Amino acid sequence: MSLTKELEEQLKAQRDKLLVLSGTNRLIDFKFKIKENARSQNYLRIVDEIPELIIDKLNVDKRF
Amino acid sequence: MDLKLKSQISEKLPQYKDFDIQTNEREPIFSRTCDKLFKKNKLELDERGLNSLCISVGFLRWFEEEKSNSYREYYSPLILYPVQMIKERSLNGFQFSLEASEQDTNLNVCLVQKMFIEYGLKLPELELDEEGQPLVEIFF
Repeated sequence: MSLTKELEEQLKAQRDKLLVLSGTNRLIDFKFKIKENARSQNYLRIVDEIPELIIDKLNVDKRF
Repeated sequence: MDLKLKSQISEKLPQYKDFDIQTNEREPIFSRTCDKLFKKNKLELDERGLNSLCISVGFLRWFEEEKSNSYREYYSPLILYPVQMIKERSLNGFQFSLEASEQDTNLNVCLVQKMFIEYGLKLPELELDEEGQPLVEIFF
């Protein structure tokens, strides 16, 4: 195994160890519910769009 | 990618051809949320050099058994497409837009690792086209 590949694998293993896999991580447990009378949210929900078209447009035109 | 299907869809439904993204949020929460996301994104970029703002395509709904034989429901984002938010002055106040980030589109690494380590499940990989762009429709 080449040194570069070995380093890459070690880096990946170390990166994986740093990941938080509990429910506190929003990438694991995303909360859609918002508080009543909230002034703002932490996310925006895109509706009535085709994901592929949005990504295509962003890739080609770089901006929406 | 099925270009024919796409063009048929976009010809019939002109809203898919424009450059507006539809959300389900109303004013004033919409503007406040955009401003909050913009400020948070800018702060993280300035202070940590990290862009954490993403468009999430698809969510995995799954359940985890808890001690009392009950199940807890989770929603986890599947594909993360990094973007940056731009804020510009307009006649009606401010206008927010999204710009593609230079980071790569990826599967949610945390979810991939959690499913593999805790349940031995391997999520399908995200395939890329010749230009390195993700083939989102194949994944689903």
